[in-house]
Amino acid sequence: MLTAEQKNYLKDLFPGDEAIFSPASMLAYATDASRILAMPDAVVRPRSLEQLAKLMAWAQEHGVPIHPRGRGTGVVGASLAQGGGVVVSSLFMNEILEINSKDFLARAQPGVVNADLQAELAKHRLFYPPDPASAAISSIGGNVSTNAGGMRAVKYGVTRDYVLGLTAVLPGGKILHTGGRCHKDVIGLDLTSLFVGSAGALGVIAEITLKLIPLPPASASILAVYDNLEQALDAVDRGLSIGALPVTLELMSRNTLLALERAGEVPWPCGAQAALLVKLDGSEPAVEHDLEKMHAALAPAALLRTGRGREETDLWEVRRLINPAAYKIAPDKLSNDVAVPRSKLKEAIEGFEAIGREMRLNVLCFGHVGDGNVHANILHDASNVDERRRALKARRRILDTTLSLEGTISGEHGTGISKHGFIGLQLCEDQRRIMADIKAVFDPTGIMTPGKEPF
Amino acid sequence: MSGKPSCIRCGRCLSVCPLFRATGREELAPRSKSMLLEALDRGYGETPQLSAEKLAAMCLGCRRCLDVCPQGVNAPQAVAELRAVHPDFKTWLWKNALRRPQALFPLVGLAPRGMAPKGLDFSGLEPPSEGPWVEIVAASTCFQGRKAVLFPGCAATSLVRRWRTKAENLLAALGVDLLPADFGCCGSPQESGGLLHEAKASRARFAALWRKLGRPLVATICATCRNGLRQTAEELDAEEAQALREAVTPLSAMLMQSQTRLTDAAPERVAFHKPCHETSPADELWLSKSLGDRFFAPDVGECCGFGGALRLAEPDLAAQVGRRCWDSLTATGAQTAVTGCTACVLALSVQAPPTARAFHWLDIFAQSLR
Repeated sequence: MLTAEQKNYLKDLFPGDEAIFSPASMLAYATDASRILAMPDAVVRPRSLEQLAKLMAWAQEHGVPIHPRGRGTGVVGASLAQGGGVVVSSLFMNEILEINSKDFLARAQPGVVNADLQAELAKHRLFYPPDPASAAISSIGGNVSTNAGGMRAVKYGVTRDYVLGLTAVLPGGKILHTGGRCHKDVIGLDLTSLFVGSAGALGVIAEITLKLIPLPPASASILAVYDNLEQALDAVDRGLSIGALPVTLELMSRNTLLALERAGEVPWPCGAQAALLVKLDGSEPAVEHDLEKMHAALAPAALLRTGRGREETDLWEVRRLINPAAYKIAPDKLSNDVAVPRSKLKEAIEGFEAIGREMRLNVLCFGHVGDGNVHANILHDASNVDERRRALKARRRILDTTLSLEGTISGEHGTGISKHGFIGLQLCEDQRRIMADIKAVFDPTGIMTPGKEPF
Repeated sequence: MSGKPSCIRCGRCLSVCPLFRATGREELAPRSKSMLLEALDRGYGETPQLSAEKLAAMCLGCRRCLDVCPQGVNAPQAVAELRAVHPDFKTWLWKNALRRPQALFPLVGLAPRGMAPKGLDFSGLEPPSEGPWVEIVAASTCFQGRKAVLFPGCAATSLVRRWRTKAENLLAALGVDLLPADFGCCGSPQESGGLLHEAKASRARFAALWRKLGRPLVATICATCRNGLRQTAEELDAEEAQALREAVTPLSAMLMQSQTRLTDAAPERVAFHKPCHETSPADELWLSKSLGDRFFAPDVGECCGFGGALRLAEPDLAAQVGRRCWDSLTATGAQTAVTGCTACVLALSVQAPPTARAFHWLDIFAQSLR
């Protein structure tokens, strides 16, 4: 709880609609796609670095927890003020500051939406590849804080691979600039990478410098439908062996296809058992060449459909609807976004589906199989006590299975509130202590995202 | 799974909500409205009733969120229902309509008898002073002899009567058999204002009259009216509903095969504003065809910020949305905008930058054939 005096300080620092204290208005900031509810004590929306610096000095002095927030599209509650504190929304800092086609970089404030940046870059024939499923709605600041992955990671990597530098404000008010405009830089420890994926635990990000590449002029996609999961997974192996990496290689299991069928029109025959979505890009001749090879690799299949232009966009829109479509099956879900080495994919997915059958639950397996990242969402009705208990048990078994296959309990979503308790399954005490010590260098009094540290 | 669709907090609505896009304030987005309405339903302890209701009612009614919601949550409808059950809402609505009448443009014509405001300033709604930009050289013959009525809407009936006259002249040029009819309101502005019973009554009245006239073509000159009339179909049986949907036709669609030519008065660039409620491509195609390479559409179509009741409650917010809309229109290089919704014309006109102008497309066409 903030005192009247503390609220007055924030009102002075954040005039007009830059600060919110009414519960009705703050309700919007009390949740995200995790659907967890945690009411903050205040929400502030800084417009300048100076405001942020003063806020962080004040917060450290008063021991007020700080929770950075972008568009609130995360699925683990990482932006929520669990235990109270001040939510710092980046949405009033949403300018693209620079697009430089000679240096192949862009500078952006954290509130810029990923898709808006992509659209601006396309006008310059430039490309920022990371595209989480939420790209149309999530912010660059949130993407950097969570080291967002996305579907193009197979060929292009994740957010961390594209952050050249950033400006962050640390507890106490110090403004820290890391990295720079160079695509190669080996001086010092890599503080930039430390911030990427730190989920707000070290400070508030105020500006980001992103590496760009030329926009590939052509692309094509293939939808391949199979009679069973095994055939689809065999095709994944063949698809990754054609001598060129696809941009994206996605799997949808039977349960996933069923959810999408219930949500609307789908481009496959109802009742399909498994499907792959593959995207290729590059120059037109290269795409044509790779398309032919990929077609051969994905065959035999029950259906092979190539999409170009508008048809290609439609194929992918279906993929982006999986998360919301899951709610057509059951009112609640426990999301898992585990990753395993590619060679363990088949074992992992078959294991997760078996757990679903044993626990009498619908487990939705889909995701970025091209890079080993599998979403295994447990659909259930949380109001049914027995079902909820089984769902929680199933999640633990899925995580244990993943770790036994040398995997990780999260490939891209992070741990936030909902998975914080499982970090100890993967990280040892030494690792966690060193990470805590590193955080303490940036945040000695522990005001940043307490209880949600990603370690 | 059944029952009313519920919000899953995915945030897809944030990208299309004009209020959120113009302000960056999450509390104004449809996701927030869903949370507030759920909280109000449950009697959410920490959310004081009045401020929650006030916040939940801040909606432009553009319905863009409906197109992207994977759950089919109808936030504008929920907001209208909230307004409808609010005990003082109707009183408040009319009181404010009298104080700031321009804000509720189409609703003004619906004010209870004797309450219609006087002295409205519609000087910004004059046709281009330099004269018409387009002449119709030869009218389409596709509709000759067809029975048709004109649905002029509140604005062309009560406030800018030349739109009605112009539309009737064009229908005459098309050679339709124009039947006389006095339809009243399409129901849309009433619905968004929370006057649900009134909206339903308006639509029932329209359907009854349309049926009595032998189900003629219904020529429309406003996107919002078209949307309202098509919703009338939801109350009819399947066969009649289909017939009604087919009958409600943009006047622009009827003119489409006509031959036109530009006059010397036509500006070099004209930006098209697509109304949020538009479901037909006809106006855009007709103007694109008539204006040729002088026609420009913004990269992203923004909402004009008219917003009915919101413009009364929060004029500054609505104005923010309007500014963003004009920014997108002038980014095309045009200083003049045309549109096919009477409410949008007013919102754009009153918010136009000093050098910019907005017109209903009817106003850029010559009054009659040469």
